[in-house]
Amino acid sequence: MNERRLRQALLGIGPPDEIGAQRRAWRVVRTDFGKREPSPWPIRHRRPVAAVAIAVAALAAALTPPGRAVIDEVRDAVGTQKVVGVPQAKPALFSLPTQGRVLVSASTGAWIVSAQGSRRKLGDYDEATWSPRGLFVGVSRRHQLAAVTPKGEVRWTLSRPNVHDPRWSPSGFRIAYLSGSNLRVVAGDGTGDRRIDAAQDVAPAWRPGAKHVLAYADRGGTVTVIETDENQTLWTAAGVAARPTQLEWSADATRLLVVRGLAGGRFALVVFDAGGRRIQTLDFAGSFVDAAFAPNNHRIAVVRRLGLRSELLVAEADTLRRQQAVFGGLGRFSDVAWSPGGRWLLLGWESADQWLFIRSADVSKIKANSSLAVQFDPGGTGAGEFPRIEGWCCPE
Amino acid sequence: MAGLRGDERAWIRGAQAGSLSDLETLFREHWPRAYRAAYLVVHDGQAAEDIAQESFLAAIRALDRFDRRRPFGPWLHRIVVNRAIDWARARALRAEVGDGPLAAVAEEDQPGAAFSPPLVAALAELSPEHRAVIVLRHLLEYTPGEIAELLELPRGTVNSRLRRGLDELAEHLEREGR
Repeated sequence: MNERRLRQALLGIGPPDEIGAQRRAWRVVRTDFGKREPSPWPIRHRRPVAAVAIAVAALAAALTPPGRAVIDEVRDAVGTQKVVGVPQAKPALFSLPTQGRVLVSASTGAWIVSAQGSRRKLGDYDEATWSPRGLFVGVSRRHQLAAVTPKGEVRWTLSRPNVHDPRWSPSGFRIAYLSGSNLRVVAGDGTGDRRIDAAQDVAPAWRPGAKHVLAYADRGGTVTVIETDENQTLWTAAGVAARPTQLEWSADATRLLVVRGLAGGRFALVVFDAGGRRIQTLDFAGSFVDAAFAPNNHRIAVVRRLGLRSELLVAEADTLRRQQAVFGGLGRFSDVAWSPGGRWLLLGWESADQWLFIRSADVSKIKANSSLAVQFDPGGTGAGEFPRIEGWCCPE
Repeated sequence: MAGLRGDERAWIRGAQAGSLSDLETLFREHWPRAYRAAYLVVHDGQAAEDIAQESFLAAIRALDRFDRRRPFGPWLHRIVVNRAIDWARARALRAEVGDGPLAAVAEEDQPGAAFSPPLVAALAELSPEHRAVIVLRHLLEYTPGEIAELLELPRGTVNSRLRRGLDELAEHLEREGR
């Protein structure tokens, strides 16, 4: 069934007694409305206040170093929500600011961007994960998991239902992935595939190291850390860590970051040590977008959405309370990734159709590249999904 | 569409000022999709009616704080779909038996009705989270980015839920011989 027919069919499903339900609901709403207090602050006063708030937000951006750099470069046509981004951005992605290669998932498939800026399409895949040294890429599409070389040559494939969120282990010898509602692990050569547990729809996270230790959210939403070769559960965390939306290990394997959504448009970062002891928890305002551990310390880059704006923060996982506002802008940011050496952050600015490379040490330098969507849609219009950053890996 | 948005702003402004007729117009404009969306997630007519009704009440009670430059629909749908997911999860935990997924099927004379009963049954096989993203995407026509915002999820999660939900839906429909 194509999308148009699906929509027609959904529209054709008649909930029971639609007219009666509407009549009953209107009676209740009308009665409730009649009891409401008049607004103490007429809404007509709010437009100028909103304009001031936007101006204050822009000023706040200006006070951060990157904000100063781009304050004249970001504009928002209030009402049309058009975000222009960084005007001095290069018109295309000509090169990366440092060594390494970026793995990208776009609506046209999986791609690798080299340090020189050349782009190679790996194939028509939905998601991708680097092997630890970048010699292979694990890719998935619909009912298939595969390992391909960076040139796109297929080494092996495995058919399983509804494959998604593949993650190659830091040892190189395992790939974890979700198949439907099941967490599975297969050897790096495509053999020995087996089910580990039922799991929620959250990408699993391998703990760096030689042992094959994996964090995932089980069917009930409990964060579970398991040694997969022995199928031995090392520790679990529910409560403040339950029903996570993202799991990330620090590069030294001593910290596990658990991100979970909270009611009221907030989210929480919860940090555990390797033994499962909770060492930090902090609530944040806004909607969580993405988070990534730096490759050489315990700093975490966090992207969040706050009303009309988005923000990139960097926080120290061991304290969380001292956050550095690295970059703020109007519209939506998407993913964030650290460069292999940890000196640069790559931030997707979906609303501006730009990638920003931000030098992470002092945040004094921002390099922007425009027209990202069309660059991963050659011959097309770039009207598909904004390219997703899957990882920034090792040099060739 | 621009005209409708302009009308909607006027209705919201009127309702904020206490106009019952503007509130009624706003209600009539948004009720059918809110109720249908709730029904497609919870698959229970009575629960869907309660959820849509309570969501409207919550929205109307907060109307004075609503920025009328923004569309009303996403605000309402966020409330409806999140409440529907919560309800469906709670029912799954209660593991009720005997109340099959179909309280009612489509009326025969509705457009697309020929597809509806198996589609409802196939939707009922999915998790509430998957049903919700399919309803938001294909009934309410939000983009994955907008769904991510509405449900406060990473966009990748929305994409994977959409993909997986549609795959499972196709499998169930195929199994049913459609």
